[in-house]
Amino acid sequence: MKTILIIEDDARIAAALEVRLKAAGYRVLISADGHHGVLAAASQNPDLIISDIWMPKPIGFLGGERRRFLGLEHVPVIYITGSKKKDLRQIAIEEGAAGFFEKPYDARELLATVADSLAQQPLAATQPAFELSEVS
Amino acid sequence: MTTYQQSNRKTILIVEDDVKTARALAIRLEAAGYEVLTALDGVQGVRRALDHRPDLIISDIWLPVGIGFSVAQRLQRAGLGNIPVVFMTASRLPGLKEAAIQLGAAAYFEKPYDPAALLRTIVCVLDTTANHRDHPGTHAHIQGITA
Repeated sequence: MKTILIIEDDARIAAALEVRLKAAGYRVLISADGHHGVLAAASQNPDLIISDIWMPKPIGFLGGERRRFLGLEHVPVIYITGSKKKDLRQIAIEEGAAGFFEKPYDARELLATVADSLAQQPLAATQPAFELSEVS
Repeated sequence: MTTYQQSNRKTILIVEDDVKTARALAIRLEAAGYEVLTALDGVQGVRRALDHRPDLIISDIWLPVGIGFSVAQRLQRAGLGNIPVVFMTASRLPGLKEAAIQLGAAAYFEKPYDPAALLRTIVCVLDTTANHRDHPGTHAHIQGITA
């Protein structure tokens, strides 16, 4: 079963997304801010990340260098945002985003992007990038 | 390709004891349109951050008077934990990267670093986080992971 990490501070949006993803057969993890999202991503080895952009302790885009830093080179990241800020989509895609959705998003389209991204995903590492519990 | 050029003069604080490295980095950042502040040790770095509230901090890890991690920790305790911190180091000491992740680092570069990659990373962080730092309720709720 593929694991999807949702990083989203709006509990209702996260819950709605969780229901849809679980119904589609995925295991779902949720983090409510960017910092915990990064910790979860680095330690839980998700197969795909869906991340909000504006949230407490934001993490911004997980571009190539940052994904390498976190050991997430092969993990697709899909962004969802309520922001209409110019150029966000372009930067996200250029930095390797698997998808970019403005809220309100089309859930079916998001699920299709999730499925496509996972289908194209190279063989992922079987171990978490980091054992964070070992770090004092 | 997007031109990684800032138009609204965001401020980056460099905390780096090697003057040549700091200067070279400052030149690149200024050429990319950022306003740059520098500090040569950890204590000065904290003071400059508190005084100027930069949009992002680039910090060496091994510094005179406090390591880069302690700079980030002191800023977190001072309520400035939402300033993204990018760590740079020449050290290959095991565990540094993991400690940086736990500390909430925005990114981590080993020296010698790729300047273009650093600039792209700064855009990834600043274009999506800088305006948010002043958003009310930023610290309103911090929750762990749920499954």
